[in-house]
Amino acid sequence: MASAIRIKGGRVYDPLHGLNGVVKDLCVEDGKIVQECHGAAEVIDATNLVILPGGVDIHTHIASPAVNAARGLRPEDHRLLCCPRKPGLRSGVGFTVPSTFTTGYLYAQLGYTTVMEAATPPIGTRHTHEELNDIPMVDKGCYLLMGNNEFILQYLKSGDLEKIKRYVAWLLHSLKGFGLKLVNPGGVEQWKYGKDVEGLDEKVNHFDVTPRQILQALTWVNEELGLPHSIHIHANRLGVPGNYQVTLETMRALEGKRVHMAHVQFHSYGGEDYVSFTSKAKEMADYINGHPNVTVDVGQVVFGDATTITADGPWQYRLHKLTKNKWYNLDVEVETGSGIVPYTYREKNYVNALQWAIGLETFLLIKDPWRVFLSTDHPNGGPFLYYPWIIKLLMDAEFRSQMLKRVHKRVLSHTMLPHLSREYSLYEIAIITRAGPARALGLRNKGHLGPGADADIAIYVDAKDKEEMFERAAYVLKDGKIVVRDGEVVESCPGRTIFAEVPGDDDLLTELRDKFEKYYTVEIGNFPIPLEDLPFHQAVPTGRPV
Amino acid sequence: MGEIILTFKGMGGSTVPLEADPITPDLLQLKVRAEIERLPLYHGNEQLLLGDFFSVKGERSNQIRLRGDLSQVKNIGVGMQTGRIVIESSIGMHVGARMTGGEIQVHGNAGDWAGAEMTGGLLWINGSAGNRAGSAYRGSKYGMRGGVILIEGSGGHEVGGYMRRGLIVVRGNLEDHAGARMVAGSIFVFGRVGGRTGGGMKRGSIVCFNPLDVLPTFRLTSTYAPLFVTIYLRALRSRGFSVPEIGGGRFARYCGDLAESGKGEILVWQG
Ligand SMILES: [Zn+2]
Repeated sequence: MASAIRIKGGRVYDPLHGLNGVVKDLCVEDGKIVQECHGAAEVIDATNLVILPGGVDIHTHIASPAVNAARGLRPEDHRLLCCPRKPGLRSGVGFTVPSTFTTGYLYAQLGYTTVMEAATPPIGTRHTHEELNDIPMVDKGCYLLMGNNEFILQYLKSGDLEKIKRYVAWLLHSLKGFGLKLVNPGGVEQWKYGKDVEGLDEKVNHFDVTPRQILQALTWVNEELGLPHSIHIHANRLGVPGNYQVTLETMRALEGKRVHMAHVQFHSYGGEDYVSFTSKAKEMADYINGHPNVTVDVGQVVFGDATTITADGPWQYRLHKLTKNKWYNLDVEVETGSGIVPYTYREKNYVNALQWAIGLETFLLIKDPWRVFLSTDHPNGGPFLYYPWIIKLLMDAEFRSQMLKRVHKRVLSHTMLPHLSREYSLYEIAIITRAGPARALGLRNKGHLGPGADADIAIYVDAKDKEEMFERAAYVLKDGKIVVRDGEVVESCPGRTIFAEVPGDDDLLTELRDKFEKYYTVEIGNFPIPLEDLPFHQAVPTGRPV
Repeated sequence: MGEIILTFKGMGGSTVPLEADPITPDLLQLKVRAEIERLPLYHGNEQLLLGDFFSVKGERSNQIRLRGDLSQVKNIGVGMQTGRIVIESSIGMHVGARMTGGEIQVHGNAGDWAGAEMTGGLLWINGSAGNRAGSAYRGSKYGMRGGVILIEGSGGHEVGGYMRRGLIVVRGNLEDHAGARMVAGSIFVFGRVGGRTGGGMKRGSIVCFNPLDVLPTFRLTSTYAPLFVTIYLRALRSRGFSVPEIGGGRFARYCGDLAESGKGEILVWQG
């Protein structure tokens, strides 16, 4: 068991408990935060240091067959970041798609202790878990892709919502998923026929159902099952000029329901093409501000190399045509699709620079920090290594205006950024990177520092340059053990895989066995992932709140 | 300014290549002898010192001379920006890769990846080059992006692959896939070329002085006497790189690769 630690004299930022820079001792025992240490405790002198809960990333792509395909597609990416082996630590490479161990170390150095893989196809989830097992330092979970699952579309066509609910429960139970993810609902199914969907009421080939029906049915299922996290949506028409209408329409279709809109920056575009491309961040923020059922992560764009990885096959084809960069496309049986295209965001490119500005507008225009979370949709908008740079942009209006002068000059007249003087406080940063995402995920032991919380703690040296400050945590504690010191990983720990505890449903097996024999390349017996395959795991209870 | 002479002492019979990345004029010109000797070099997974492998004469110079059998020494001049390196023997892989300026003279053969992804400067190889000289590393969008590679002997496979800009001149032969997927730039080959020369090329010129099997996705458009070839040859001669006299020779022009944009060309000397 981890020994006791007393963190003395630091400035504590714990938004869940309203602590805004209060100087206070924190006590840690047996991996948990406690009111008071009972015996002898190791002391960390945190005088003049800043203490935050460990970071929580609600949307990232770090483990899945697609992420691994991206590693294979991009040998050139391996050369950009090489981490040699150190005592107790493994070697690894990769800048936008780091290998597993390196991913864990890099997140930990930034002070992150919980990360969520935002897309795994059911059939690839065995692979995803194998990779998650190999990502140390952080607790982690994955969202199962469901928005184009042909069994679900079939049940939906016959109007059998109850069956969808049972099938989704079976998937979550069998595959140890944490949540439900929809990617371009209906559109990826259309892509199997070389098409996409344009709007929410377009019929999906063969199944005679619409994206709207898919969205509503699976949101209903998500709430019926009482999953800790709301439904997690990558809306239709990602990246396409004028897509903000579909995004708004999607949120309206789910009005009053808990819903998380992923990487909204990529869904807040006006204009008819990339020449008339404009920002609709204001329209989006206005809607979100008025609808407390919605949470979002931003999917901020950062300049430089990125790797776009998504189940959104039709979009990836468009991006490949646009950039002429290499392209990977995979049809995932009856479940979904997948595409990969390397991409470089450039300061002097009008569209890229405006995407950058739209992300920041989104952060600054959404009033409630509890509902907007930091993400780059790693590695789609750029690698998570740039989170500190984004934090600096949010906290430092002067730095923001300097950057604005560097980027494509047409952006200046097409963004509200120069008029947004808001600067995030440390307290607000603690919300958008910790407390907020933890709450949206329904993780009661994460994102805060109250007694009973997991002792996942990030300690920073306060600096005027916030990028410098957040780049290297002075200390990171994971489950009460010091794992990072002075920005370097000093001890590896495995971290746990978190999944939603949904009861199994064996009555469905006969029917599913038949479907598997007809449509799958695997036998149903090889599909579920037994708990023994997740050596470190933690179930999160589900059920509708009373 | 004098020069720094590094004499290779061998590796005690080891066949594990030595990674000599720090040997660039940019770095050595800042160092006194004792500092040069203490520069770290990797030998396999072991970190040792430059002084363990080389005896050092001279200091603080951007002129470096290397002596001894260096065929197992890799990464000499990688990323160099200025100065000059003279290698008096054969050299291992990656010589001058990613160099942006300056000059490297190899009085012997060079290993694979010579001048890979270089963006400027001159790499002159008196002997032969290996595979992928001036090409892209695996996965990269572009190979050589500028500068000049002169090869007096022959070259291996995929020389100039994914090339983006610059000039490669080969007095001897090239193996398969010369200039494959090149995007721009020029390759001159005075010997013979292997199969699939220029396969997938988008733009750029491959000038061949011997007949070759042109891919079916190239189309013969004309036969003419291109002025730029005459100018290039004159420039090469004036630099001391001897090239055969071709008189006012005519060239068959094949455009391609039509499976791509078709804006590239292979010129074949007709005598
Ligand atoms: Zn994503």
